[in-house]
Amino acid sequence: MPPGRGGRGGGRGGRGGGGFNPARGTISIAGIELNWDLSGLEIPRGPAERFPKAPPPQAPPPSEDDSAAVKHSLAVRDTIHEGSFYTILNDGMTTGLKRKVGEDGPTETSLFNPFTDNQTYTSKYLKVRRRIPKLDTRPYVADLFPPELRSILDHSGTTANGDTSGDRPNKKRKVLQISKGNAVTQIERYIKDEEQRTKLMEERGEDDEDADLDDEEQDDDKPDAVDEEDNWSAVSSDSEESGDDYNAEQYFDNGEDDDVDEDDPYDNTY
Amino acid sequence: MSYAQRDTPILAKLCTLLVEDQYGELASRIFTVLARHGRQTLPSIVRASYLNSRQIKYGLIVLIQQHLVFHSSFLDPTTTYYEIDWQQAYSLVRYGKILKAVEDRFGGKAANVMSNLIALGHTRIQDLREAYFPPSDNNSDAGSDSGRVNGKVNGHKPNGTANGANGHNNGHSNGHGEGEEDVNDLTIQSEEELDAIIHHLMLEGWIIRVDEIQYLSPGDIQGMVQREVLGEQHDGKMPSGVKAKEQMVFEINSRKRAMRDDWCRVPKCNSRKRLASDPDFSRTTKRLKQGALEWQPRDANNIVMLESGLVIRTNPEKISVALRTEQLVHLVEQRLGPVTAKIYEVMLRLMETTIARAYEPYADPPPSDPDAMGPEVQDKHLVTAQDVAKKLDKDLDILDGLDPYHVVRLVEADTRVRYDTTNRQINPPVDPTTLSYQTRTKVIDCHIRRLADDPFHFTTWHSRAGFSQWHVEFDELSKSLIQHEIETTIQSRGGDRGPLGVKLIRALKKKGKLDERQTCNTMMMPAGEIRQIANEMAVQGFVQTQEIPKVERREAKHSIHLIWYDRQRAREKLLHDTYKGMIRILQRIAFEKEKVRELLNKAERSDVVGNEEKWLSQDELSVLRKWKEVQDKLLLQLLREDDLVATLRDHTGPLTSP
Repeated sequence: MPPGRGGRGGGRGGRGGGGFNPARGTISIAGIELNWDLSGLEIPRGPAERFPKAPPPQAPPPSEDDSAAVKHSLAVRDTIHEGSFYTILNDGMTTGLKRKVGEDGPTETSLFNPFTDNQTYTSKYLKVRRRIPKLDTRPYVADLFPPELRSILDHSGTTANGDTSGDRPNKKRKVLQISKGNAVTQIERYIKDEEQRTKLMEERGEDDEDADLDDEEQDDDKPDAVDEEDNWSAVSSDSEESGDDYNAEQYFDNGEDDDVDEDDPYDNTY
Repeated sequence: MSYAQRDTPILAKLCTLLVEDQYGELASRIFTVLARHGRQTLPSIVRASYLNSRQIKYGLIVLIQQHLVFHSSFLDPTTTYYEIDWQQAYSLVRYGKILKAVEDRFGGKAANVMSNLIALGHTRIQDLREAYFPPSDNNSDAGSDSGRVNGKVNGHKPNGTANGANGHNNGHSNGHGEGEEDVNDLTIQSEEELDAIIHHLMLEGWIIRVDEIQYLSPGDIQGMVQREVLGEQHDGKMPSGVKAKEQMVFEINSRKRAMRDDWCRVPKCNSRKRLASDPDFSRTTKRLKQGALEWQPRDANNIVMLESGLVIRTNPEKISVALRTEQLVHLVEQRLGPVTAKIYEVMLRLMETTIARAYEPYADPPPSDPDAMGPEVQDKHLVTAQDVAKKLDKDLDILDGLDPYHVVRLVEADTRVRYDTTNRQINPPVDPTTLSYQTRTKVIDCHIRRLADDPFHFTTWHSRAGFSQWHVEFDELSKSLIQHEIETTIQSRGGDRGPLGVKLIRALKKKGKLDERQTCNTMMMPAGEIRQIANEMAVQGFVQTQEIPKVERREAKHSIHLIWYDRQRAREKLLHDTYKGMIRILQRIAFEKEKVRELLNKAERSDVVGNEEKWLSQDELSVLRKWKEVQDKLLLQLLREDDLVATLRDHTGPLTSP
């Protein structure tokens, strides 16, 4: 209760120290009436909200030029990542500096993720990331490098005077990796494929009769592993039609077969 | 290198993230060592790092190949010091913009060459030729073969003749066969064409020669040139007098400039006369979508043959010129409308050829007597309305954005039209494409005058030679751009009080240091309101404070409290904040990527690539799409912040005067 308000400003419906009198449009602070015109002012009486809503400012949408620049950045980055210089060490360090004394570095165990890092059959398809740049695939201008590093370049086949492997006809010629056409970023390729897929799905929806046929055709052109010598996938594609369940490619796949396996011996174990 | 940047840890962090993003972990680990310890020899890097020396050597080769590290082996081959090239490390973020700028100006093929050059670091011409056109012994490459066949068909007949006859025609014929052409557009057809493109880019200053000296750090270059100058002119001893010292600095700067300009000079290249049997590759100029600029060989009758041992790289300084053009055009578009902006763009791009860099780091000190300055503007930087009229897209409605009453008077030589005062329209409407060359030039001159009349003074009248010659005072413009950016930032950061902050900054900029009472008088506002905003601005670093004691005891009550505004400090603060923002974006991208890492790994699997629709589920594909959106959005923001960095850092030197 505000003390002693009755004595001052009698007749006002004052609210203690900071009373606002809408009738006269005046305000009294600490008992002094000030004739600031505050008519029309809404003073919030409740406590202020602790976390008022403040939507973050949104950036304007990209213009055509902006998206082109982004596309180019992604494309050139993908080219570099595909190239021979890109490395991933995956050793759990953040800087290249030596660890301080007493500070334990990450160990094999601490880096191992039991959910994803277990070797599975499909691990053989995983993209192999380089741990050290592969320097011997392209020609260099050795003169521009310091002498102490030239030995590595020489090892990798460039002669110091700059002639690239011209004097070694038996060796494979070193060629720069370049992209000749318009590079499409990887992610765009996925998206494009998805669109094709949805289109395909729609077409299937239209004529269901062909659907089964399509499926069979699709199963026929199973992906081969990238290595041509590798026969494993070819074998497995044969075995798939024979209903062999030791088919690792299918085993962890999208779970198509799960509902089909009625007589699975392990089904009742849970 | 633009003006001496203070190497804050924040920049080191940002550059490390950028290097990691582009070149992977090994390169960035070594980069962190150099960033932490500065200039180092190889053994001391090995000592400071947990990596073994083989890893470090390999990493250094990557960094050197990409010009991210300077080394001093040219001066002293026995001990080599390695040092980070901060400018180049930062400009990793601009790869996309470089390609965009080159594509806009010179077409898709040039962008393709440029993107390969960027990815390769530097390369010999011969190696690049071999990469594009593998020597005949492995002729089995079907792709390139078909390219050549295509090239002959494409190069010989339709485009070459059409263009030779009439540029106008070319545009139309291209428009028809657009779909067909897009397929072939980016494939370079022959070595001659590759050489022509590279040569053209060199003439335009986007590609430069690589020299050993470019691998010396700025400090090494300074030392080397200084030793040279001292040895030749001062008998190896430091001069003692003030005048002699000034003379020495002058000499050093001019030598550095000469050295650097020599890198940009296009080497004398062999050219042979075009034979009748030669396919006319260099004339298959593509009319760009923008329509304004086409690249054309300087000498259409000769085929350029570059020296095969020449080593080339992209010019790291040129992009800032292009960025400046884009920002100015953008600003003009906001203030004066799209047509004037288009005309301004043509003007600026005309000048770009002769402007090698946005900021001259080795400029001579300005003479004390301003009248003693020589001819300030060089002829090559002057543009007339006629030059613009030649380059401007014919379909652009150049009458847009002008006062119709004035337009009527301009076009009365061509058509009888009048200004309808009731509708405020020209009656009958004028077709801008039918105007004569003279009238077009006059109309364009009108637009240029609008540019000059703007408070920013986008163009400046220089002299009259038939038509008015205009030039652009880039230095002054850059300063106003910086001020503009600072004000925009304050405005949008402050929310409701934003305009008040801008008002305070402007008042302080005009009046200098003020105490509270003077501030009130200047801004005509009560002290309470000013105090709040001034405090906020001081915390943000845009307003500086100073306390001058009046009595010996330094009581706060008896002191004078001054506030003032320092452009350079505000600029550095904003730059610092922008770097920080960029780091946050890169970290956010890494975080978002980590969330979808398993899926990305799966999408990269060799059995999945090419069969995504089969091995990835609908959900996974939608997650990928989502990730693409997130990445695009964050990258876009990164590039926009880079625009701000360019404005703040690259276009002008330190602002010493208030």
